[in-house]
Amino acid sequence: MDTPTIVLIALSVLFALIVMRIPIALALLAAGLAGLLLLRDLDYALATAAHVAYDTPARYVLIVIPMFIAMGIFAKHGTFAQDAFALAERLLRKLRGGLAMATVMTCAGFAAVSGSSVATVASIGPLAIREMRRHNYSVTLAAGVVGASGTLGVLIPPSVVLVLYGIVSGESIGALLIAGIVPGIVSAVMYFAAIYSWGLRRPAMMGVDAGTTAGNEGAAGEADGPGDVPRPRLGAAAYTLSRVVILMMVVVGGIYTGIVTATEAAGLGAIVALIFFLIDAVRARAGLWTPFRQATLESVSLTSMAFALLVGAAVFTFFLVLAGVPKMLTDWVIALPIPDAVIVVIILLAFIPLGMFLDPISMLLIAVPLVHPVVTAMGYDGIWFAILVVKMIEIGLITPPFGMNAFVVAGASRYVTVEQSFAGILRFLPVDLLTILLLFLFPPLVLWLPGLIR
Amino acid sequence: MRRTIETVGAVLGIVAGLLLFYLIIGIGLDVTLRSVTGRGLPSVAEYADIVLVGLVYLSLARTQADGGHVASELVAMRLPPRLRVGLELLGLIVVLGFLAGLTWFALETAIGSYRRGEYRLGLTGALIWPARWAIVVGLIAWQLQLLVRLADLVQGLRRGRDPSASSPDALANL
Repeated sequence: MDTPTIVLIALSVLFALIVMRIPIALALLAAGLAGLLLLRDLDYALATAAHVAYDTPARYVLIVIPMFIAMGIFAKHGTFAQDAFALAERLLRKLRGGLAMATVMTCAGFAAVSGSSVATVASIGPLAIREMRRHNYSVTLAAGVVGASGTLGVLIPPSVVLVLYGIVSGESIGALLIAGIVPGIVSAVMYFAAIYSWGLRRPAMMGVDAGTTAGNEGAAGEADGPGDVPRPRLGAAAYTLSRVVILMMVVVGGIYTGIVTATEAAGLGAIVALIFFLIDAVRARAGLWTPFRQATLESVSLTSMAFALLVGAAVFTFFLVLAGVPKMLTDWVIALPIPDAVIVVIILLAFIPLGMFLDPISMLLIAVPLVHPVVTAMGYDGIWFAILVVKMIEIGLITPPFGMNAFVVAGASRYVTVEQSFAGILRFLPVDLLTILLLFLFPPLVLWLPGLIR
Repeated sequence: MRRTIETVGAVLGIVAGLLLFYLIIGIGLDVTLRSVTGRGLPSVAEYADIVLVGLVYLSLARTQADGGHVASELVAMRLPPRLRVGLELLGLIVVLGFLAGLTWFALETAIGSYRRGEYRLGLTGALIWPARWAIVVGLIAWQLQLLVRLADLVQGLRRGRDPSASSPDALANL
């Protein structure tokens, strides 16, 4: 059997198993093994997989993943989201669309301590949507702001997605994490600008003159919880802000200054997040053991899921490399009579349909080993391309049918349906595409900061 | 039987939780000591990746039981329940076959590693074989949990109902 046929069979096995609802980690493992079996023999395939099963997770650099996961989970289980939202709301409430902007700001702040997109939405969504509805914001806008801002979690460090990108592509994890900062800020600023401009053009969306528009998208002024977000006292606000600053200084500052490696920074970040979590639990007087146990087991479960995917992808990638697929693909793409920039655009756009079938991590683990070498072989910077890919993955988080953020937003408030959630989030799609265009046209926006530490 | 399998998975999950804490506290102490005294804890760094292997594999079964391994429901949910369940059953049998083969090879490697007293060169000569055994134990526990799912699917096929447990929401925190 010739190699292209074997590759085709392995890909068919992969997609068939995914369609059969088999965990994607197992689908990748089985497809990789099937490919190796056809390429060599069963003993070779299983012996290779047995080695990969140990070699893949047994790397010191990978400890960054459970550390970042634990950091995010501890932040999620603490009172950080409520405190941060109260602070941002206090700062921005005077502006038109201030609550929506406060939501963006809170999501960016939460992203800086959790590194998770959906956790950001799940933690901030209920509170922010409730407050925006109380102030007569349109339900689709409220849902859209939360869902779209939640995507900042995969870009602003600490980001597990960026760490995984570094692992599968070989790019420096530290440089990738630092590279996410400016694009994360640019994305947040673009959301701010969009909200501001919508506020000028359609003030009714922001609850201004709500009497004329209340019936548009659901009854105005609903509340699915108790009163206003408590106004934070100066001391409480300073405490919230100091937690973000400390965690950012430990993780980003540590990596940026080179005092610690990314792994060590993640370890320290996890300890600091754990301390904050314990302080929050003691302050809340709601018991320590149950949330602590929940947070720990959640961290362990997510770590296991991420590594199962990583091991499955490693076996599949081993097969692809042995079959010479990345090289064949690179040679073929480079020989195409199309400008390189167009090829990069086509590759990036391919992530949109891919995002309709696969979750962000699976998409990254399957596609990056194939396309990253192609783009770097054309002379483009791998870090720049990584950030663009992660931005495209963010789009997968908000577009139907797999747009996970939309489902989490809908689950966060009883007044938001999935359809309203998608409608609201998709309003931000042009904003995201514009941000990607900016990053594409002006690579220094991505490369300037990591360039200082390289 | 189901209860025993789930208890095994839960206990292994707790062990994995302890390993996570070893990593968090160990790395924190190592970095802090190194910056303050100039000397860290070399054993932490040398054992960290071995501990990570244990953490990852020992928690596979619990993650499966909680529906934590990410799967795509997109196409499956548009199929009739009986076909959906039948296809998953077929896919599960295929992956269980591959997993059994992988476990067999992992077991051979673990036995060889234990007999040789496999260790890594370094200051502490960190032993590797416990991690290799953790892979075997974790894979067996995962397969047992998948067999529980298989049994549910067989029952679902008989009754024409979908006993769905896999979840596409597992990435909720990434």
